[in-house]
Parts: sequence; structure tokens; C-alpha cells
Amino acid sequence: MEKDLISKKELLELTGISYGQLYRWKRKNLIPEEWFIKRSTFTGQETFFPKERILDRIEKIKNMKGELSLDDLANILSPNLTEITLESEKLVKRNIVSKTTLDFYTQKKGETEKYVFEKMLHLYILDKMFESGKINFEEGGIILNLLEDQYPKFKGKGGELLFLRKLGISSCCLVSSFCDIHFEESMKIIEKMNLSDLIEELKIKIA
Amino acid sequence: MKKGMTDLKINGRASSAGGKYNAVIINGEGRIDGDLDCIKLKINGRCDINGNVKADSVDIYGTNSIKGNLEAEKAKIYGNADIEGNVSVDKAETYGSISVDGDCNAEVFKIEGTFAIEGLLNAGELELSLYGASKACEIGGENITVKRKGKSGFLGLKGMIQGKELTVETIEGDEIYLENTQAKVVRGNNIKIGPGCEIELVEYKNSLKQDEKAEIGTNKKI
Repeated sequence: MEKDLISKKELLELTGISYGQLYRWKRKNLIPEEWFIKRSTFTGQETFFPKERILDRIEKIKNMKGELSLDDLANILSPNLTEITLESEKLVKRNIVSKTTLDFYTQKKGETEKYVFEKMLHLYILDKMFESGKINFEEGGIILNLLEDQYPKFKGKGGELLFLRKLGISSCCLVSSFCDIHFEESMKIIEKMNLSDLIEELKIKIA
Repeated sequence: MKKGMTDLKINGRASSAGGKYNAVIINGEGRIDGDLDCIKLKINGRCDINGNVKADSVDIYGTNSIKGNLEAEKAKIYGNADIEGNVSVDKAETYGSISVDGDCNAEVFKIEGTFAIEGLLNAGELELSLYGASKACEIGGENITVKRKGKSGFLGLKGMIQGKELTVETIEGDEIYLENTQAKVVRGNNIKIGPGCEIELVEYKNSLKQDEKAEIGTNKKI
């Protein structure tokens, strides 16, 4: 899905980091394996990265590495779910999820006292979708079911959530990162959400 | 050490299922079918593990094969190790020969002997002392040192017959010192290309030193 790639050499020039740093961050899982894209060029094999994401990631690592150890950073940046749980009031109080979304969730799935990270993530995604005004409650239900049924298969891999609409009929799907996907013209992609980015955001918010 | 975890000991010849253990000690010949998760793994002799290995410390004296990944804080291998998955270790030392079908990750990695790594060898401190033909697909890290050990034989004939001792596609790091290495590309900050090297392209940021017995196709300062 990402078209803009940057070569390793350009990346190091642009960001001022060294090969050693890049390899260390890779070892510490600060940069996901799947971002290292091998392509053959006339000088042999070269490694490329998805440009925007890697630049953003390196900026983040540079900013945060003063305060946090590399291992802590890896924890925040990895798409693995953490084991933190939070009570429902806290979620609202800390502005992680709006009251409306929480009510919607309780209505669908019943009262929950403590939310594990995975459920928080579902709420967080829903909340973002509702906030953007692109979906209604009924469609929220579809997304919630999709996340609950299919998201576990994505664990540790990130992926993207696509929300689609064709002639007024809506649907959604989960796709793994870096796969190309093409739709016919009348299919509109209403919203595209990168799950690893959201996990990262949410981890920073609840930390 | 957690309570309730037992030890697995094999003296002689036996096989066992995998599982969670405190210490796993094999003296003789053992086979483990399944994943192994333990605090300490010690093998004297021979052991084939059909699964992944996760341990705090691994000591192998003899021959060992692992069908899956090896994950450990400390690993010492004297002898032979054949690993079909990936290796990720904090501190690793191998004396003898090691072959890895996947990638190798370590903070400190010291190899004396020979090795064959099909994937990427990624280490903070990498010290390779070669006693024979070795290869890796890629090497990356902070400090990379490759030295040739072993006697050169009669008038250096052995070296001439065997040719280059380390063959690798690319080497990328901050500080690099190489001997007897054949590589397509070497990139880094400070690079020293020692005797017996044959490198097609060197790209360096700060400094490049070349031994008179080394061949470099082209070099570029970046």
C-alpha cells in the first residue's frame, strides 16, 4: 500500500544516524522486520523502507530515547498488545475514549468493569471512527464484530483496517501491511486506519 | 528459579518431550521432541532438538541441532551447532562451527572457527576469528572485526588454495576491520581493509585504510 520508498543510504543521510544505530534498533525490534524491503538494483541488492513511516519512526526514537530505555521504547512501538487493564471510568476520564462510544460498547457487549488492552484498542478505533463522523452506530457494530473475530489473527503484525462503501452499502476488512489492494471504481474507501500506529498512540496515552 | 519446575537430566541415551524446565542437562546423547523452555541448558555430547529453544543460559559441548529458533541471554557453544531457525542471543560465543539458516541477532557475538549464516548477522560487537571458509548473506552492526586465525601452512599455501575465508554480500557498520574477506559492498564510518581482502565497492564516511595486499574495486567517500 505504500508507494514511496527510501533507500537505506538516503535514509542515513537524511536522518544522520549510522549503520550501527540502524542495526541496533532493528535488533531491539524498534523497527519492524517487514519494513526492510529488499529490492535488486544495478549495484546488487539494496534495502528500502516505506519512507514516511520510517522517517516518522526514527524521529520518534530519537526524541524518546533520552527518557526511555531502548527496551521500554520497543515495548511502546511494538504492535504486541500489552497487559495493562483500565477501568471504564478511567478510560473516559483520561480522554482515551468518549462517553458516547463507551455507552455504545456497553449496549452491544454488556457492562465491562475492566478493559484489557485489546478491548481498549477496539474502543479506541471505534471512537476515532465515530469522531470522524464517517460512520454511524450500525456500521460501528460491524467494525466491532470484525475486530473481535478477526483481529486476534493479526497479533503482532500490525495491519490496516479498511472501511468501504459501495452504493450506500458499507463493509469493512482487515488487511496485512504492505499488500496491494485494488477496488473497482464504485467502491469507495471511506476510512483507512493503520493498526500499529493506533496501538502505538494508545500505548503512549495509557502509559 | 521458580518453584515447581523440575529438572530434565539425561545420562546416557534417551529422548524426551519438550516443555518447561528449570535445568536441562544432557550427558551423552539426547533427543527432545518439542519446544524447550528452561533456565539453563547444558549439553555434553550430542542433542537434537525438534523445536524452539528458549533459555537463560545455553552451554553446548559437543554437537547440537535445533529445528527451530534459539533464544537465550547467554550462549556458549564449543563444537558444532546447526540451527534451522533464527538465533537471538544477548551474548554469544562459539568455538567450532555454527550454521544458521535464518538470521542471527546478538549484542556481543564472538565466533572462533567457521560459520555459515544464510540470513543477516546483526551484532553490536562482532568479533570473527576465522579458521576456515565461512559465509554470511549480510553482516551489520556497530563494531565489526574479522580476523584470520589458523596457521597459514607451508609458505601460506593453505590460504592460497582455500581462497578467501569469509564470503559475504554486504557488510555495514560503524567501525569495520576486515581480513581475508570477499564482499560485494562494505559500508561504514571508519573502515580498515586488511590483507587478503577483495571488495568490489567500499563506501565510507570518515576514513578508509587499505592494506597493500588488499584489492578494492571502487571506493567512495560519502
